[in-house]
Amino acid sequence: MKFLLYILLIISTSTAFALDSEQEVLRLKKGEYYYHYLTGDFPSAMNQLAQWRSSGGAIADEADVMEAAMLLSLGLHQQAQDIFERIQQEGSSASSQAWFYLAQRWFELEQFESVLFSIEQMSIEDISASVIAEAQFMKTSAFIELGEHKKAQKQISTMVRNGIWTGYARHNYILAMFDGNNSGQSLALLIEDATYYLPQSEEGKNLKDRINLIAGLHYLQGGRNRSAEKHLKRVSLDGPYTPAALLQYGWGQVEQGRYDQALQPWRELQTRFNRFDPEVMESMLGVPHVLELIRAHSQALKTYEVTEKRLTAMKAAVEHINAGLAEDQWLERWISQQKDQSWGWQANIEKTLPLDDTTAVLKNLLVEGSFVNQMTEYRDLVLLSDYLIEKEENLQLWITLVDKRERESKADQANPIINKANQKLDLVKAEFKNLEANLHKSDEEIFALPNQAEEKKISLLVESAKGIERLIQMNKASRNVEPYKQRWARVKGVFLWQMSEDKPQKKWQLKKELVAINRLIKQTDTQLLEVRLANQWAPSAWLGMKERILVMLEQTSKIKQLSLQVRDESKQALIAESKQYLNDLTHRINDYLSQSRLSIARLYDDALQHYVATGSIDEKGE
Amino acid sequence: MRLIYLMLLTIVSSWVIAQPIAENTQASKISQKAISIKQSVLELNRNLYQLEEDLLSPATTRAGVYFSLSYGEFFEPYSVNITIDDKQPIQYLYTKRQVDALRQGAVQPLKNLNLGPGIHTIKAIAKGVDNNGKNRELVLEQTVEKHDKPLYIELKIQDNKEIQSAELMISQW
Repeated sequence: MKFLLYILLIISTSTAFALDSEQEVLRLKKGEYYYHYLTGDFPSAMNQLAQWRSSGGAIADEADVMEAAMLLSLGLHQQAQDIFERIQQEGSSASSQAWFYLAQRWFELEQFESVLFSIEQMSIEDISASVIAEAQFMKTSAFIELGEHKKAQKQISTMVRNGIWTGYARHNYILAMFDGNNSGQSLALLIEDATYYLPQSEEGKNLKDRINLIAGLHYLQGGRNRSAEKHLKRVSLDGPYTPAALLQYGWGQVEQGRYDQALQPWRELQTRFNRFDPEVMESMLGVPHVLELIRAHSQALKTYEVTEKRLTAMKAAVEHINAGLAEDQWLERWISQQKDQSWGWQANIEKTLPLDDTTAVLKNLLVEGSFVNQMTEYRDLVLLSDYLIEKEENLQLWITLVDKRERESKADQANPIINKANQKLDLVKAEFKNLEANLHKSDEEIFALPNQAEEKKISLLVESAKGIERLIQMNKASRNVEPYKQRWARVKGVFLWQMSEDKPQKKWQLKKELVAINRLIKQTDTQLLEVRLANQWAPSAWLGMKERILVMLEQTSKIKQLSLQVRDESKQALIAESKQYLNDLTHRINDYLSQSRLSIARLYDDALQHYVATGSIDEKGE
Repeated sequence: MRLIYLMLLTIVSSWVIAQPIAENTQASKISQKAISIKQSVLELNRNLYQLEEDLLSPATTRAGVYFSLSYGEFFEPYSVNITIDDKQPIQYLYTKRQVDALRQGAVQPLKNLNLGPGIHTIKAIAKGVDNNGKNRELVLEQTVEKHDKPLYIELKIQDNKEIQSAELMISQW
């Protein structure tokens, strides 16, 4: 009975240990997944995810949400959508951070109902203040997009007053009010609030400029020139919205008949900004137009002529760039300047292209969201193609390695060496046993454990004894053997005395050496056993691997081909769109050129008419 | 002129709101293909990862070294240096982001190794600063035994509230 209980105890203990061990390994896998996720290595995180998905319970729930967020991060919307729909149906207990990432991506995709659902799942206690502010901004914007303005307004009132996200929320709310044709004091107050409560940072300054610009444009459209002027004046002179503000400020002045005051912002615009900016080009024609309005016809004519020359040079430059656009490596230069080599949504990409003639002309196209997305997609495809090419090469190297492993394993070089080592070890063990036997016999033998000198002395004693025996046998009367016998016996006695005195020391030394040898033999035995095991395990390094590698190689090659093809298509699409943009730009320059040439012709014609009529070339009215 | 204003307003408004709401939902044909490639690459990457693991470290010799931090109140690691049987040195320097990830419960996969059967000696030194900002080294030397199953070795910096200090510990499965 006791034996049975003992067995049961052993079984239950080992089962519990195995379960514990499994749990611990799972914990490590989960921790590894989080490490990759939190340090932004999403592809590695995806690899880990599969390993602990099957564990069930809360972990699998978390994995669902995280996987959906990561798929969205990598641009795989459809897969994420499927998981998200399942989460919505089944409910989930994922962390707030995971729901936030999901909300962020849905927001980017303008899926506003999904944004609201994801934010509803977040718990404020679990997340940082900056995450809360961004979530509140997304919630407000989602309400605005869904037409629920009151909820949006209520949401804004709960946000930190001077946060940047609050500023963005107010900005979107102002735009929604413009769209709804709202006006009046409340709108003015809202704009004042939105521009006043902003953080003192570059981002805050740019947002302030943006709100002032849209407010200025809105008031210009409504014919409220003074209000428009107030807001346009507030736009800073060194921000991304400066050109538009300067141009509109000038037109506002023209509308009010203040022609002189319109010229200054336009001249500023032409001096400080890219000549291919639509605002700058418009101002090039605006200046002589105003000069005409103030009846400075000679100056207007000269300005038109200068403008015509500038526009002709610009047209030639655009046409030259357009002709060589496909061969120009501007996209490759942009990709090579990126420090982050990961792909997907969360890759840290520098979206500003290196400044050169091509990018300067394409500037306005390169800030368009859809074009930037296409460029990012092209970059992803370049990275993926490079990755696949590298993996294909690696797999080919793996085949060589596995072949080598198989060849070496089949050549069976290890077994003869192991057997030889085993034979040597057996010999050593036999020698060890002999030594052990000698030690045991040493108590009975009088000349036991001799060293080299002693062995010589023993053989001398034996030889001497034989000589004495021979003399005795001869038995000559003239020879007395007795002194020799006595001398031999004396020497033997002294020798025996010396040996017996050294014996305990020798025995102790031999015992010590035998213990050390025994330990070494045992170690060698273990080592030989481990080598045998390793040799038995060796086939696992190649058995069945070649077939797996070949399958993977085929898959990799297929995806690589497809990736290279789509990469080329993507580049062609980008080039085509850029060419179209440059064609449009050429058309626009052509229009401006036509206008300037028409104006030049008209002014010359007016002057001629005037000369014919008056006989003088003086300017009219001056 | 008003028409121009209206058009400009529309353009600027759409551009302006596009900053936080940037993406076009209508993916082009190329985008669809790119998405399909990304999906295939992810699946392929997963299979390649498994294959490379099996090739580099068959289960019989596979050993993984992991590093984790429990709370991290009394010690913040800057680097770890590990040797196994006085060979195969593993060295790692930590960034702030990685330390934050470890503090949140993440476990760092330091290295996958090939270990033969039998007993192996692990020496580990974790360098960093304690809660008073003073430089500290946590040192550990211990043996682990490898059988024919994969071996998981976890090096953990554990806070000890009683002595108000951290210690380096090792576990194996």
